[in-house]
Amino acid sequence: MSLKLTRRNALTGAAALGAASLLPNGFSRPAAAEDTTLGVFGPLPPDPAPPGAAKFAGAEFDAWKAANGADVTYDLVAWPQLHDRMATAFASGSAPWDVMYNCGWVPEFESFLLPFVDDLPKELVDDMPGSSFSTVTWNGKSYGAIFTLSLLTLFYNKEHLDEAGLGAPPKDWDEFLRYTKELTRDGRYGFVSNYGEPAGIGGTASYWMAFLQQAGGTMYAEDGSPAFNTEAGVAALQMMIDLQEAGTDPGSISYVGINDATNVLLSGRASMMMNWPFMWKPAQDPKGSQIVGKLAASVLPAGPAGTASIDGTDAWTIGKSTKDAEKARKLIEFYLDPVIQKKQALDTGWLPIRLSVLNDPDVQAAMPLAKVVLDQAQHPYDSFVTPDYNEISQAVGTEVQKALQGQKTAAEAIAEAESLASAIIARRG
Amino acid sequence: MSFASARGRGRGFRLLVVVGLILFVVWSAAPILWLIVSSLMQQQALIVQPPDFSPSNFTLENFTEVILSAASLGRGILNSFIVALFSTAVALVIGAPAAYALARLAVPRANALAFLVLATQMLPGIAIAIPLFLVISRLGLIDNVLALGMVYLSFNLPIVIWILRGFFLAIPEGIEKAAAVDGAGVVGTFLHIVLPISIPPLGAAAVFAFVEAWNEFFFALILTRQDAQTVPLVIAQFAGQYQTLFGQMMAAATISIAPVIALAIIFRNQIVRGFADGMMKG
Repeated sequence: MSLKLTRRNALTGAAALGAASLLPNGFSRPAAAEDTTLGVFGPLPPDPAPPGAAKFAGAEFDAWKAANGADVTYDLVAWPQLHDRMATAFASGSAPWDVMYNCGWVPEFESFLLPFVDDLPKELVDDMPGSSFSTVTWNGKSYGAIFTLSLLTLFYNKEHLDEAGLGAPPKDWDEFLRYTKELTRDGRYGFVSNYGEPAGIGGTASYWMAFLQQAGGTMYAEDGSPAFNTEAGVAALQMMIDLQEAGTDPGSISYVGINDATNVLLSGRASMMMNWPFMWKPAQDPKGSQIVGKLAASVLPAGPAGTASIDGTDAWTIGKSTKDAEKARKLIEFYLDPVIQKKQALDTGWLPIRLSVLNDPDVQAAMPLAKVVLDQAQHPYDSFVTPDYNEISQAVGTEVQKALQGQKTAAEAIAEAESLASAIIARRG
Repeated sequence: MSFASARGRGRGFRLLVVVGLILFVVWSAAPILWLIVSSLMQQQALIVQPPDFSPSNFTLENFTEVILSAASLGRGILNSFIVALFSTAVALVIGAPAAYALARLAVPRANALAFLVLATQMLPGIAIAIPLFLVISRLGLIDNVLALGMVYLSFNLPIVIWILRGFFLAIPEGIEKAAAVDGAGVVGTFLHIVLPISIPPLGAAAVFAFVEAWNEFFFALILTRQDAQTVPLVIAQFAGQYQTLFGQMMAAATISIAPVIALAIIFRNQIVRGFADGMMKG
């Protein structure tokens, strides 16, 4: 909003203040149904932006606004800046938004959010994977609705596998290691990842959490205390170390964002990586990809306990200071409507969260990946978000990095990581 | 040692100096050169290793897409201009007399005051982010370019005062005394004697303040929404969660640095003289 500080504006403002103070309810006049304006805070496209911000379902969005007597204004920033903008606004008590994008930060911002999931229609909730609510639930209350099924799966270059005589993708850890070794040839690497940033969803710690679940481990005990210094925790890290030695791109330890690692795969310099569904669409664009038509995906190779993954946790939440909680919830319901979800998938490349839309033949035909991610969703996936997720993942991720660089053994790193995590949780109280 | 004195040392030494200077220039200019080259390349040519410099991979598409699709770039540049110009101009108008007063007038505890001015720069930005956001928000000035300009002014003013104070301290007092003998008061001496000989340091301080405001990111991020976004925020929009449009980002950055480079070229003499004078006299 721009505000011109002119004498005329000052006088007009003063007159308006005087008039408003004469109203029976002062400033608290309830907004008429037809003049509600909802403020939505979210990421800029091509990250998962909603209708009206990204170019899809524009007509449906206009129709929804007309039918609900609501206008919607968007405050969009680049994804990497979302968290800091929200944290500052919440901390100062001046968050102006009704609906907000969240990504694993629900426990951290819990006190500023409104639980609303119990009020969602049953048919909607039943049409979403039950696990999708785990990362938006804290202290028994659900504060958000995931709107895209974004699970880490295995992406691989079919051509490279065919050349190496490896028909199907690796099914378990042993095959994963063997494939990585055999695919490391001709100046390229069998596997690539981004281990440069320890913290956050998509950081080094989160990759280890996927391996941890594949090994049958978990991050926390029932009482919330760290419980990962176990055989499974060490085995998960040892698998990452072995993968490194088998033929992971050595640059992986310095690639900070998944963009860097994705570019290695898209340029044909690596054969496999763990990545998110969104990379499917850019990989088919010849402007930015040298492996058009060569990419395939499968569920992550199984560890001793089977396959398991982590989720991207992209969710819509409602702020406690919302002007109209009901309309804010209805807007989220609109974002999750099957028609909108289908357009979201087909037009933007972001998979839907609704199971019915994931099973839609049009969606599966346009995005063969949908079936793979749906399959991955049948298995455990947990990103273990907590209010101090950033701190804990920073501590754990840093220890994992040390082990990957040979500075510590897997057992030493995991023991130290649990000790650091315990201290962080003790401070939380 | 000056180049002139090196001239007398024989051909080999001069050659060494020239090679050293060339290396230094290449080293300094390389990031800008890479910025421009990558802004002209297709994304797929940038992600291979080594980058594919085939002529067919060079394109102006990044620029056309940035200019046509990101209307926010033009608005960002305009906002940056307003914010940078405002904070620089006001910093000079307030900072120059303040610096002169601290350098020349009988201000009690002038050195302590000058240190206090500098001390405001010792707090990391993050420490004042929330209180500042709170104040700006309560005043209803979030997403207002002039409010952002005021914030930048508070950062630029101390720097301007310190740059100019050093210069004013180095001016021979005899010049001001001569003006006083001719009947000039403090204000007259400052306006008619001191300011005219202070153009180089004023230029240097102005460019410094302008560039600081032009490049600032963090406070622009938290204090703006859509209307008052400055150019660094617009450039950052090309880096997403899963994808970075390198070519377009570089094209936007190339466009955004053009005014600053033009400014540096236009005022290069003043900048060099300003900093050189400050170093010799300060």
